[in-house]
Amino acid sequence: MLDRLVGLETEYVLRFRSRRPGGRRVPNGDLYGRLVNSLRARGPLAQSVAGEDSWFVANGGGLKFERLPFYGPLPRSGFVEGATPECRGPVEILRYQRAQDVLLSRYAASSGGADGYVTLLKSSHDADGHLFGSHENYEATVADGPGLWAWRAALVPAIFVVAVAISVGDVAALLLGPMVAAPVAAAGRLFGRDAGRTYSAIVARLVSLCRAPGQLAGSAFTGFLAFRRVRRRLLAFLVSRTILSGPGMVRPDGRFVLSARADAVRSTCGITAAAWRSVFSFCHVIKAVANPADGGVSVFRRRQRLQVTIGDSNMAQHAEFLKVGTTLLVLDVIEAGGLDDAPHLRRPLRALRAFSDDPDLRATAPLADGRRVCALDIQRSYLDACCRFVGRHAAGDARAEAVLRLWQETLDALRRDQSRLVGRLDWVTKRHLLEAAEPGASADERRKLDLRYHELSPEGYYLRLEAAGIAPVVAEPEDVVAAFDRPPEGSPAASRGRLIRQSAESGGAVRVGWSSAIVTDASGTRVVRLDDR
Amino acid sequence: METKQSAKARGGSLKRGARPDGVETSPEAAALAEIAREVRDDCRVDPKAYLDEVRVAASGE
Repeated sequence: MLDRLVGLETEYVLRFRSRRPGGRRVPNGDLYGRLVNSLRARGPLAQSVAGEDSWFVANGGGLKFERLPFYGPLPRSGFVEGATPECRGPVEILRYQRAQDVLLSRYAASSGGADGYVTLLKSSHDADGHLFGSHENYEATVADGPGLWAWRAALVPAIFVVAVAISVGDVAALLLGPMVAAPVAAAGRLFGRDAGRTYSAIVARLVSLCRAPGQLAGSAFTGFLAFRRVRRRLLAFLVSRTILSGPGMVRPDGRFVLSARADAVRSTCGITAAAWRSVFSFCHVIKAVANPADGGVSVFRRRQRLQVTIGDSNMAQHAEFLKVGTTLLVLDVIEAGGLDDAPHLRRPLRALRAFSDDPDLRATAPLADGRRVCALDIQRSYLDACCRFVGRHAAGDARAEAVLRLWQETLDALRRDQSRLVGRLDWVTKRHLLEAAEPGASADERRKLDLRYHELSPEGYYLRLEAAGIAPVVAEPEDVVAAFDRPPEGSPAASRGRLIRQSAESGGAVRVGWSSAIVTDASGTRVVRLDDR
Repeated sequence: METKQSAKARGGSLKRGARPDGVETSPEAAALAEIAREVRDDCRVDPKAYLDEVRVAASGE
């Protein structure tokens, strides 16, 4: 059990502070360039087949600079995204996630140079309320029997229609953006408004509007054909999982909520993530069309990537272990037929917001049969189903039993005494710190606490707790250091990492992707598939 | 000896590791209270400047 491939993508916010009062802000794109140069000086790095700003490191994980072209004129736009190599099990993924956090934050800190100080925040939001995330990728069965053939038959025409609709929308947004947003932003400046923020807000709405036709078509297609069985049984679990994995957030109105992303989720399935949040995202399907050499085949396979985009970034290792471990376990039980009676929420997205809005965990939401349940009830029903399944089919599986034990202890503590989870669950820890800062903390002070909690530096509040031994560590430090360069065995990352190292040693050229690599050496250029299992 | 009341008075907490009678605290709870105090003090240092440094011009994907 817990043996399917899993990977995490994390978006990091760049904090920049000039060394000189009133000094210029170095554009985020330049900071990223310096970060890549420092990493390249440290060890082997290979460019991705996906683009100039995407790279892979020797452990098989990736990094890239993400910025939509609409935001090009804004120096503060763009962020660093890290992707772990494909792993197996919650302990292994945690080890590689921490290795990524340490490497990226260490070299980001050096990217400020003589201009300023740079820190990464592993946060789901910035000071303006923009959202970032931690996307989870799980290997799962897209469909079986006739459903699988229907998916394969519809894939090419449906994605062609969706890709055309989104491309037309993007061209419209690119043309309209400067025409509409620039004059409004300039006018706003006369009234003392920040032109960059106004421009960004208008463009975000424009992109959302222009992409809506393609987005709706893509949502309908994937919602009807992709992972139907798994999604139906997983949805209530993911919605209620917020009580374990939510990082906590101080909203602009001052209220404390569990999840930064809960308010923004608009649909169950989505085909593009920008300006349209969903529980499950199928961006990779579009990307496979854009880059068929890397992933074109994988979207036709029975087993492929299920991307969960409802999650937030976690600082607490306990929370991240639970987030991934429980999801792996629930997926195992669903695919083995042990959760055919999983709870069905009548309005899952409304339930997500209700659960997130209530840190006392008393909020309830209606099930399809009319009964009202709270998030703890839902989690408990999944836990019970998993306990029954493991007891019957996997008794003695130490990894599964460890996840079950921790899950049960955490749910018990949430019900009886949340203070036992300080240092273990992010939202509980942040709430504790906020309460300790009261009374008298201003709105800005609370928001600073909310954000600095996520800083990947010795001054970051969570990392202070970890350094003091208050927050338990799941990934042992020596294993994290080993994960800087060594890929996990038994996954495509192993052959990816091997190619990157061989290329660095031989002086040959390699461009790497998630499914394949293009190798150029003395014998010529060839495409290598990365499917080590 | 620190009591729950005195810890509260200085903004700390003795919840974790405290004995049921609330009289004595564990080293872990004392460390937590100490960090909570440091966090509270740090938050008061120019929060507006900090927030300005943590602004990105657009959401993630």
